[in-house]
Amino acid sequence: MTHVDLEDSQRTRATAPELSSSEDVSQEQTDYQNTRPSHRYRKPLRRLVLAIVVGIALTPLLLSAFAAFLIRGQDELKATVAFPFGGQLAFERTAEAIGDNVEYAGVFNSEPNRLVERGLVPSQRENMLKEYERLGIANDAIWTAPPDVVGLSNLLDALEDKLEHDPEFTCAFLVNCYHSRHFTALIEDRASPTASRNLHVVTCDPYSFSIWNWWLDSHGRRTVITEGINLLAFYLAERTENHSWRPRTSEEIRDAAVDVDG
Amino acid sequence: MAPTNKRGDSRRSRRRRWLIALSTVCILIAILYASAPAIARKAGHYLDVGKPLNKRVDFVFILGGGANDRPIIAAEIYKAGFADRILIASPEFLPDTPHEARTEADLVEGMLTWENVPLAALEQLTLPEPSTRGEILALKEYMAEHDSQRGAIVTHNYHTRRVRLLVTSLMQQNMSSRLNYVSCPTDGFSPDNWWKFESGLRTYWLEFVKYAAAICGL
Repeated sequence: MTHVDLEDSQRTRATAPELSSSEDVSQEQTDYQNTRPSHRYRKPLRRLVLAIVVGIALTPLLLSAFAAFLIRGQDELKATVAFPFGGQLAFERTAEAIGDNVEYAGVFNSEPNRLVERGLVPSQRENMLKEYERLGIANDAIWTAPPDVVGLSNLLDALEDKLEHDPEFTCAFLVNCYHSRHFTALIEDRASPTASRNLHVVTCDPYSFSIWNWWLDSHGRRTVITEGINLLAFYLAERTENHSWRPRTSEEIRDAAVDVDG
Repeated sequence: MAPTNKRGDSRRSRRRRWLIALSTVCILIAILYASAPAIARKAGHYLDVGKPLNKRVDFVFILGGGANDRPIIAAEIYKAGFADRILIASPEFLPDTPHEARTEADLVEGMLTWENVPLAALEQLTLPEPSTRGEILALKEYMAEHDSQRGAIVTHNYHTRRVRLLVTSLMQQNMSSRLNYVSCPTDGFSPDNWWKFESGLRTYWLEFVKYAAAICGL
């Protein structure tokens, strides 16, 4: 196309002095001007500007759509056991639902880290029990996973075992709405399809920002972008390698501190 | 029968151009896929500019975000006699932190005392903002007060390049040249295999985003 235009332009330039009628000359001049590089780029430039304007206008819509994509779960909390993962609001919702839609508040332990091992912070189990006590949940309304169940993978295995004996048993995980797609994918990845039907993800609103205009708040931006990266990492990570993950020993860390010989 | 007119020729040449472009893209993708581990390894090592400390310094500064392991490195430096003082970043509470929770600086202090570092050797630096930038600004203020002191910054290996970038952009050259960077290894993955683990992908991708933002001055 460009090649043809150039040829035309060259031809126009060659014949322009021979034209007699002033109308023709003016027409030819217009054609010549229209084939100048600045004119040739005018149309794509206009399209680019239009695309940018439309892009800017659609940004809030796209960002909200991304938030909507991250949310996957149900609003209603109704289960035999509820595990609150979504911060303070999740604990409060569980406490409110006990006796009505929820029979038990669940407790389990996460993988210990050095801070827990050295007694500097309480374990997840201790934290959950403390929070239930503060919210007035009675001990007989607490379902505790066996002590050897450590981490979410083990908990899902334990729940799957329980479901085999009690098909009526249902479990709800209360998570922050921006984390719900990731959490649902995690359950679907680790639990069998039959068990997944009885394991529900219940969404909770974030504590410090609104999910529908997350980009307006610095904490919201940090959280949602990180969650997007987490979700992508979850889908792309090799599952077999992932299971070989292990923490470093303190000795391995010490070796990286000083180079005495250097 | 293939069209022979001008229009048919241009259509054919356009098709040929598309085919060449598509093949090039496919070849590039194949090359990229085959060399992805090597590229990822290079990228992982690119972010790590730290090394074990091989000379004496006046202080060690532990950056926040790694109370679980960074203090072990700082304690080892102190116990080896390479530093007399350990500085701890002390940010304000984050918005959704329960009020009764201990601060991260308290946890780092706990880890250091557990590693037999005396409390007298520790000092908390209050941050103007809870970010790496805030930590560098707090360190800048400390170094301005303690003229001609040499120091070492302890942080995770993937974080060292961004820290160095911020140090060189926020501090004068005579100040930044007095700092060393010590890399703390991460639990479970390293620059040689981070792309194989979910937590590795998460950590490195986020760091690339943050590094790009730091380059753009955001």
